Amino acid sequence: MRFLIGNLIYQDNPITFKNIESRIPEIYFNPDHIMRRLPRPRILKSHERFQSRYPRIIYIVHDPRDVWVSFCHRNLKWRDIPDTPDNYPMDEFAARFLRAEFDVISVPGADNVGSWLSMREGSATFLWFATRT
Amino acid sequence: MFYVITQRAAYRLIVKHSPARNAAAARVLAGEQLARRNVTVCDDDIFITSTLLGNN
Repeated sequence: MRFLIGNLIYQDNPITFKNIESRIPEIYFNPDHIMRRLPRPRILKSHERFQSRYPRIIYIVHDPRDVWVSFCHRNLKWRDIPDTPDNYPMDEFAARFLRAEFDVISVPGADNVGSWLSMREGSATFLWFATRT
Repeated sequence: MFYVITQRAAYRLIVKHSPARNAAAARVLAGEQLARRNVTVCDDDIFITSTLLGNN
């Protein structure tokens, strides 16, 4: 999404992995005093559950199956779970995934999605869409 | 001996070394960390938001 929007805004200088944080930064990687210098209106990335302070939101609801598979590989890579697939079957990871044992930043997915949709769905300043595979 | 450890470092340690056993504690720490993050929000900001992962 950041690449799509960034390339619409900066058509003469496409977004790359090198410049994306200086144009459409993620709030977890960039200090506030740096982000305050960005040209307005700013476009920022977050994984937060409902935040009443956010004035305009593009909210993406991922297919949970995609998140499940991606998250499993991410945790294998980071060695948060044993890196031998035979010792750690996907089914076991799924159970822990549904309990949100690993999702320490954005809280359980259902809570994150539910909080936004229940508070902002139908608002003119809230655009949401779901990705499907 | 007394150690001083930042909240972020504690969060990383917990998540890295014992994600299952201390998942609840990690969530609490992460929540506190988010609550303390001081992100200035402007009236015309646009936030691209999603659950974790998915390359948004």
